[in-house]
Amino acid sequence: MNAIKRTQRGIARVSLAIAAAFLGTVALAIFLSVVCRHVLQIGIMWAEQYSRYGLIWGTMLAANVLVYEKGLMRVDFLDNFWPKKLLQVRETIYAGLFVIILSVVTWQGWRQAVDYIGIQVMGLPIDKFWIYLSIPVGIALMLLQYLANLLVDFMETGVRTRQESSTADFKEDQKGERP
Amino acid sequence: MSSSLIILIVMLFGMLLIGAPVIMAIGTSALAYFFISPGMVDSLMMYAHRMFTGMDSFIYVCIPLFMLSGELMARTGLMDKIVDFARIFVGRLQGGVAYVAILANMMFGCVSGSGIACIAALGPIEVSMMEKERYNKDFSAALVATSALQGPIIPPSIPAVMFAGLTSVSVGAMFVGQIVPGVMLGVVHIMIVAFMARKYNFPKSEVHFTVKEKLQISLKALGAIGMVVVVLGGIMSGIFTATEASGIAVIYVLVLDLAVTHRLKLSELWECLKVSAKGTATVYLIIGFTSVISWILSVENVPIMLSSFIQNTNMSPYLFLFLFNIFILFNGMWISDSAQQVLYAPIFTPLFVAMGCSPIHIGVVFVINIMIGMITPPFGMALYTVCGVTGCDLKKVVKKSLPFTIGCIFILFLVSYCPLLVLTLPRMMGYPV
Repeated sequence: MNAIKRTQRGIARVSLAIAAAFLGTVALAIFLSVVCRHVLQIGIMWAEQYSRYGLIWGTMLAANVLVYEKGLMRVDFLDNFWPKKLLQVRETIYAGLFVIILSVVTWQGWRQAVDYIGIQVMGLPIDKFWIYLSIPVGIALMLLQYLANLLVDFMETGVRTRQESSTADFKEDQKGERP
Repeated sequence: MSSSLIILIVMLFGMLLIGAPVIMAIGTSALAYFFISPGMVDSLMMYAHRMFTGMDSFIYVCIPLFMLSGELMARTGLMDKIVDFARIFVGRLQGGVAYVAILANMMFGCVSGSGIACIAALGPIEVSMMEKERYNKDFSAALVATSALQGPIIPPSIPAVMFAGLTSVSVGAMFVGQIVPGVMLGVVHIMIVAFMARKYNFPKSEVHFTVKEKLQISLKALGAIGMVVVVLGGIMSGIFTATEASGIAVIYVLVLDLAVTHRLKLSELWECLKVSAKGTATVYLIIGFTSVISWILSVENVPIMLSSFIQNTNMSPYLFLFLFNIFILFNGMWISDSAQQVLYAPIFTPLFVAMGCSPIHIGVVFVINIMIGMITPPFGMALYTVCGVTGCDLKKVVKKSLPFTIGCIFILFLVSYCPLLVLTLPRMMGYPV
């Protein structure tokens, strides 16, 4: 279980660092484009393209961190009114649905990216494939983190249940009520 | 309306109601449409394509950059200076600290485009300041949450930029159009606090500033005020676009810190980048997934259906505007502001324009309305954020925020039915509205 947690943390750290780097460089690129236009009287076309695509890559990379930290926005105001068992059923349904959506988007995103192999981005010396690749990569990482979260939660709940039952057994043994 | 679309809408609201994560509710209902609607499963690649194109806009680049500049301002201590500066003017009045909170939020709104950033940055400072002066903590939190709405309304404004991007109207005109309504919201909050100060005998602040101190505080706040001049001045004079202004704002705060405040360490800068990257992911993912539903609505001819409905019922613009406001207010209780913009701005704006309304006026009304959604439960992001940073109980904060929410709704309807409040300034500045 520790290995899963370490891997999750590692993926989250690396992807968030890259996303942060994208954000920082986008700010610099935009500033540079204004300076070039007004001071050096030259326009840098790549700045706009880089900002757009850099932020999409940044977003898709940071998305798995939100899943890892369980920080996806939701309306949980009414959760207190739900019975515990129903909440568990709901979470199981959500898990199934989320895995389906993420799998479909990863697959379709990959198909889309492959369609753009050989088509170059205007203003940047790269294939559009690399730009569109952000969707399947980002969503696949989300899926990975989500599955890992489910696994960790499941294992921890199992461990907790076992620990709780052994503690209860121990207490009952102490009382001498059970053989 | 096809049965697939009805299922999509029922699924979307149903899932939001039972507490599904927003992107899951939006994503699932959109995906379900592809599988239910005849022949649509072959176009499944459009799902990923629309998601990408929804996020792919230069104008949206300013969203993370304004978030970043707000985050940097909080870490460099510019917030404290804004609060101190506001204290000079209203701190000595009865209920002065409450006025300070409102004024500080207005000023922060002038340098950042996000209400959530405003709460996260100013909330802890303002609530602890009010607690020290023996104000009720829940009331303080409610005041911070509701007055933070001015942040995204007073320019620069992230929702205004989004609206402009979605409907191809001028960002500059939207910014100028939002100045008067934004200030009016602040004034209404001040009036409510003034009334409460008398009724509940709010304390007077015991902090007194000498003339020398006042001068020093004003000088220290110059950096923040300078940012307003640079950002708004640059956009309105046409030197740079809103997106470029957001990049300039980031560099401005960094340069100011390097030259004057010296508070930002490299590790803190890195932390700011990481926090903003996560904030960006939240907003961009919602935009991306919602773009799929927005595309489905256009495929289903929803704008045309709405248009013919209005023509057939001979509905007046006033009634339509009223119904629109009620509809968006209701939606604000369940759907996030950015999702609402992507879903509804491209549908409703052309209808209003066809009825003779100005798109800038509709844009400003729309922005105010979705911002009110930030303080209406159950999905009130501002309420969640303020409770998160102050540790207050959500239900108590909701109760205390009611008078301010009613004030905001009053301003919404006032602005809706008096377009001149929005359009006068843009006209004076030469924008074609």
